Amino acid sequence: MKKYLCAVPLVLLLCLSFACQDKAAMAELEKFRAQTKLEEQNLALVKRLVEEENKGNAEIVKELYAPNVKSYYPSGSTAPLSQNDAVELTKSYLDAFPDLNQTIEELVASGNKVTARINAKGTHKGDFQGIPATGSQMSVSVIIIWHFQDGKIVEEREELDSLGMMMQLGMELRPKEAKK
Amino acid sequence: MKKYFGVIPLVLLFCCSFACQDRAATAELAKFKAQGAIEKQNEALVRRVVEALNARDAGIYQELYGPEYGWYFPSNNPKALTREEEAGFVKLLWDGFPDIHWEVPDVIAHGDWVIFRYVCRGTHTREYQGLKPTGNKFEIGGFWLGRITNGKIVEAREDGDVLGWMQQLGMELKPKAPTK
Repeated sequence: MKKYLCAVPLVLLLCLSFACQDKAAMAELEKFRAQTKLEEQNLALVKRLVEEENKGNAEIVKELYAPNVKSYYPSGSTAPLSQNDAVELTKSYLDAFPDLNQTIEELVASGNKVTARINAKGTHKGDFQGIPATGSQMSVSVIIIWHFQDGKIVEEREELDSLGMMMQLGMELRPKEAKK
Repeated sequence: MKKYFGVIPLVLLFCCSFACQDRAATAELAKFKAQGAIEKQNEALVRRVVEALNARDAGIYQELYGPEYGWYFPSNNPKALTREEEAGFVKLLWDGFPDIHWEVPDVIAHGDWVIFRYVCRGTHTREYQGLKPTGNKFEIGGFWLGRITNGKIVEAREDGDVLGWMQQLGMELKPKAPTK
């Protein structure tokens, strides 16, 4: 019978080794799971931002953007917009295109960043960057990358097909006329 | 001594329960890690594309792009260019701006997608699509979203500051001349 007694500590050791392995792997797994959860939360914030803007609510920018946000538009701009500038820019779009409707075509969350590819449609019913209302329907592509920190947007970079949009509003590109 | 016999199956059961929990978690962890490995490969592939663009190596289109590849530029363009058409466009850029260079400050790889932001710089020293050389330097930003399947790029969606680019090449926006 004594030999069985010997087996007990061995089995316990085996148990412990399984448990240890489990603990290290579980810690790593928990890290991945926490990241996935964070990405889902950030995705939900972006969806809310777009939904609220579609309802004409420019104030949502104040709620979701950090007070010290840096908003780069176009994406390579070296003079980022402030939170207040971003609210005003959103307002100017909503004033010019009161029925502005953005459709999210692609949404990718990775770490603290969310990328969206958006198609924005609207009717040109108000002044837009000096162009009086034309009544034209415009449809323009937009790509934005947001950086999140503690549930707030701290950086935004945006590119939209501004040339395509301007052409739909009756503008065209011409060689600059020499100043006389 | 008989009582120790009773303990052994219990301990084994205990062991098994640890092992089982471990197996499910290990599978989930392996999935996360496999995804991470693919994302790393995809990112490396896209970095090679950028290097090739800067090295004027058109061989990448055959090597790294799938035959079904479509390039959507602007990103909501209903019509995609083929990889051969994109190669043709890139050649025009190489010819018109012999020092053209893409810098990629941000890369995101997630799932099938690799996303990067670029800053493109160059000097307009030769004719480009009918635009006589101005000698102007330009710098514009943009985003590229590429989808990768089995190690080949099969779709890319891009938006860049084309308007800013054209303005830096001496063009300006004007109301469309009325057609006579």
